[in-house]
Amino acid sequence: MQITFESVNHVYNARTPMERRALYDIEFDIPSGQFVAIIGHTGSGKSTLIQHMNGLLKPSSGVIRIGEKVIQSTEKNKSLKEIRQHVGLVFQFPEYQLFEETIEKDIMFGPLNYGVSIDEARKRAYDVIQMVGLDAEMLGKSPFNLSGGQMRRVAIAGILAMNPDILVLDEPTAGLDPQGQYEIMEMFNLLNRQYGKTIVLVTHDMDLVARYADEVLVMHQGVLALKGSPEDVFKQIDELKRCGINFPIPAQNYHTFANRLSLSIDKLPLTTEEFVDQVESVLCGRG
Amino acid sequence: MRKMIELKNITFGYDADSPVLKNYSLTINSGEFITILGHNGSGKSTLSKLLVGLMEPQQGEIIIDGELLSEDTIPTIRQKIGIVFQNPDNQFVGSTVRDDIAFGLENKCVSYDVMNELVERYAQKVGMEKFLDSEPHYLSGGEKQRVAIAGVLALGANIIILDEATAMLDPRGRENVMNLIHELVEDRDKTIIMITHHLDEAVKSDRIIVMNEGEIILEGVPKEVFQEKELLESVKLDVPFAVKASYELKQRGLLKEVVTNDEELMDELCKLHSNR
Ligand SMILES: Nc1ncnc2c1ncn2[C@@H]1O[C@H](COP(=O)(O)OP(=O)(O)OP(=O)(O)O)[C@@H](O)[C@H]1O
Ligand SMILES: Nc1ncnc2c1ncn2[C@@H]1O[C@H](COP(=O)(O)OP(=O)(O)OP(=O)(O)O)[C@@H](O)[C@H]1O
Ligand SMILES: [Mg+2]
Ligand SMILES: [Mg+2]
Repeated sequence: MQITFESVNHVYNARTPMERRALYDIEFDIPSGQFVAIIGHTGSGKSTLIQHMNGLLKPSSGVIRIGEKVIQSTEKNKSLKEIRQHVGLVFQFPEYQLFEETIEKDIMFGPLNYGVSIDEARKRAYDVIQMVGLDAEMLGKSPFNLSGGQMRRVAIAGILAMNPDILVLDEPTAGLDPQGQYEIMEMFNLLNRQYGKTIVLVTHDMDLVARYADEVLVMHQGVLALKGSPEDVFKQIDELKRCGINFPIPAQNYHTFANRLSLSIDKLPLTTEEFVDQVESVLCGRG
Repeated sequence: MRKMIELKNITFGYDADSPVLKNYSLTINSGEFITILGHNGSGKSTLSKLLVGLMEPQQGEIIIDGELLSEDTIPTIRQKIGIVFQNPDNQFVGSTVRDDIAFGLENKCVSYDVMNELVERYAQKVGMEKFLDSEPHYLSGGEKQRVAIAGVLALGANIIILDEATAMLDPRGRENVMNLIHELVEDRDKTIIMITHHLDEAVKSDRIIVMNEGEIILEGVPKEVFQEKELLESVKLDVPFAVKASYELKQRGLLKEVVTNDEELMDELCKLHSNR
């Protein structure tokens, strides 16, 4: 299911003293099955942008297409229900996604709402809770009596239980412990590579962008400033600087290393493995 | 060195049969900057809530700045602590960013002009000076966290607890906040407890406390703690980039030592290059 944005604008609190324009003429498309990262400084419009993908926010003008379905400022709620079946969105603050008495009910809510049987919904809850690294014994607990990282995992589980074609994730690793970050990202990667799910990942972690994304969108002050593969985007040093974006940590370090030794840089390493390989080849005279 | 925070044999559980913290003891000195690491659900936020008296331990004592934490002393002790909770939304009280940063100051008998000056100074420090009249709930995730941090810094409390206060900041914002913290650390008149999953934030702290299932399993200066790569991985944690890279370079016979921070890594690599 392809996602298309056609000159999408968004203005918060339009025609009030608190009016604030957050998106300016956004245009792009994401083919079905792609792993896309959206990056940008604080307040650049990432969360605003992705909330248009399931109609949580409607554009002030412009059109969003999700497969055959259309979201625009006049669209009625009826097609939104269908869109939300295909587009699962995990919020930046997961607690706003949780509301039921127990974790199990919370996870079952989405599937039940879309006509899945109780037995099937219960089975899904049992499966997805383990996919996010929590014990099935926790299903009976209140989703509010959890630690921050546990809440995020439950919010992610609730979306997985819907089995959507498109997963839209707003900083899904924030608040997860390092192993949890790794496992959850590997799980999304598997859903993408093996099951063809489209993944839209908003993140401040450039290392994840380098490792997982096919395509990167860079937001800057409400404008889509750059789009391309991680290799291409991380080559545009000046433009990224203008957008207030840092490089992945291995790239930053390699840059310092090369500068101190006045080496020319053909390619910046984006991951720790690439960094180690490149340093080794310089130090062993193969560079 | 003066003790600022003492936890003595604390046991606490949300229900009494399953303790979250088990016979937990920890002493933090005045002026110290400590980082607490630990897997999700290991008890970090629980610990910080106990320190501000939001809950009471079933066993053990908490002593803060020489005073035993109890119902009677909670009001005076709270004046000494500034805390940023994990979700900043739970903390906003003002209808504007300005009111919100000012909130804690209002009970501190500072004049209106001084208060205003403080609010503007701290908003500026976190890069939120353009948002003073915005409503806190209408901000982006990172903007909210910046405001929460400005609020706690403006308070000027002796003890500052940051519970994943940087989790949603962009890398630049994170660098900025870490610089603000290091400024405070240099003055040595604040005791700072930082709870985080970002290992690179821990690298410059005086001491790292590693928690696993409600217990401290490792503590020490970053240099020592980050040598324990396997132990850390076994409790769902990891090591910062410099450790990972130098560990791998050591395996390949290039480096002799595992280093903990980026500057050391660069120094070692440049040395190797010139000795080549
Ligand atoms: N409900 C709202 N009402 C008014 N303005 C808003 C609202 N939500 C966000 N904004 C503003 O719109 C801009 C874009 O916000 P958005 O949440 O999309 O940023 P973001 O890129 O997700 O940032 P972050 O990385 O900090 O989460 C920000 O400047 C923010 O202050
Ligand atoms: N209000 C509550 N009621 C019951 N149990 C709770 C409550 N809050 C937390 N817990 C449980 O207590 C344990 C410790 O939680 P705590 O919030 O202290 O973890 P944490 O180390 O801060 O984790 P995180 O890194 O995810 O924020 C967890 O197992 C959690 O499920
Ligand atoms: Mg956001
Ligand atoms: Mg916590």
